[in-house]
Amino acid sequence: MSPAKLALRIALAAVIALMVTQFAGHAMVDALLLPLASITDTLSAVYTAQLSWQPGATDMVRITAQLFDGPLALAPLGIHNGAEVKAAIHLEHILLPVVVLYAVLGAWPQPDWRRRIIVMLAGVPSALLAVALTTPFLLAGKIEMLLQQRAAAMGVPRAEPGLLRWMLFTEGGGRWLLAIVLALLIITVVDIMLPARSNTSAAGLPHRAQREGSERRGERGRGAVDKLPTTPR
Amino acid sequence: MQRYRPQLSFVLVLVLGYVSLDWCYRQVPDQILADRVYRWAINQVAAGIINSVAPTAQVKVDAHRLVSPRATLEVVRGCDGSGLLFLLVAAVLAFTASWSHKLVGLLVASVLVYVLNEVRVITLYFVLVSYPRWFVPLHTSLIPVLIMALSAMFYLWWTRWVSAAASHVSG
Repeated sequence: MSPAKLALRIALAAVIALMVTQFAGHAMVDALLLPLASITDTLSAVYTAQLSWQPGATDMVRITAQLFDGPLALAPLGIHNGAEVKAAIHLEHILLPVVVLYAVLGAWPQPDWRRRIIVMLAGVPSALLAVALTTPFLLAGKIEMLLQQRAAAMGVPRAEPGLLRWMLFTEGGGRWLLAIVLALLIITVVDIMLPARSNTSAAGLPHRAQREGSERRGERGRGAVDKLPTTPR
Repeated sequence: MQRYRPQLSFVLVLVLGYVSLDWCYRQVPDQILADRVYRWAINQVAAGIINSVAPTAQVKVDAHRLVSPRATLEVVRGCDGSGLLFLLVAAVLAFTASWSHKLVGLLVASVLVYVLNEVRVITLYFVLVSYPRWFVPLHTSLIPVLIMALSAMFYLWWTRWVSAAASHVSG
């Protein structure tokens, strides 16, 4: 596959995934709101969290965190016990890892439709995992950011919580990495469980790229697939 | 399973490479990024291009902000293309290639990410001014996905170039 064709396939797969998520995004958030709220609530010992969602014009998922005295002393921050803090994220933020995951899965060459369908179905739990590893942390991380800002403004030292570090990691590009790695693992696992009959199966980009190098050298067929040439160092 | 070791080690190096680069990036204070990197490397260039394309825009640079009478665009941590750069750098390092090929890959990846990010910032400014409703979907989904496709194109080109060079040496 030429690089331009690959780019086109990724763009096409991503646009299809975007359209599907735009179409099904509301239903997806409706279905996931409760489990996402449960995960978000367990992330912090400083507050209890409730999620609400306003489909339509804003498409925002909102978190309302009720702060209570405990591991975090609220008085030095000038916050009273039971105070509510709110933050929100856009639906697009929730859907991006799903779009990236399915863009990779959809663009990856598969020898037949049966295998493509299996890969796509295997993407569903991975997509849920990607959402579970990003959305609750993003919501809770926004609350933590507000608390960090308040602590800094009041001159109270407060260590950066682990969930905030993870949120910053995923928002900085880690969610891309997460989605891409999940997609590569799905493709590899499907390849292990259902070995392809033809050499068009893809077990990994570097593997395939090197195979294409072999094919240009005239080493066609299965042997060329399994042979990983060592490039000079 | 032995057959898949290259793929799994590729994924492992990719993840470790990305996490290491991201950790280093987190050590740079926000103020330095805003006052030095975003102001000079991103915003001054973007403002110059916007003002030359649309002289009435009157875009000025205020540290990490692009400010005009019609819109203010903030470039913050993560909006600088670092995530994409780290992905490409980690992917180049994870691929079996000579160090000279990797160096070329890293240089081209850096230039590519910089150019794509400047185009992204400039595009987002014009979208914010003219089609504000499109800002969120473009900023969050469409442009990132397009950039991912272009980056994948570069990466496949680079792996092919490396493979072709290797076959030339061995053949």
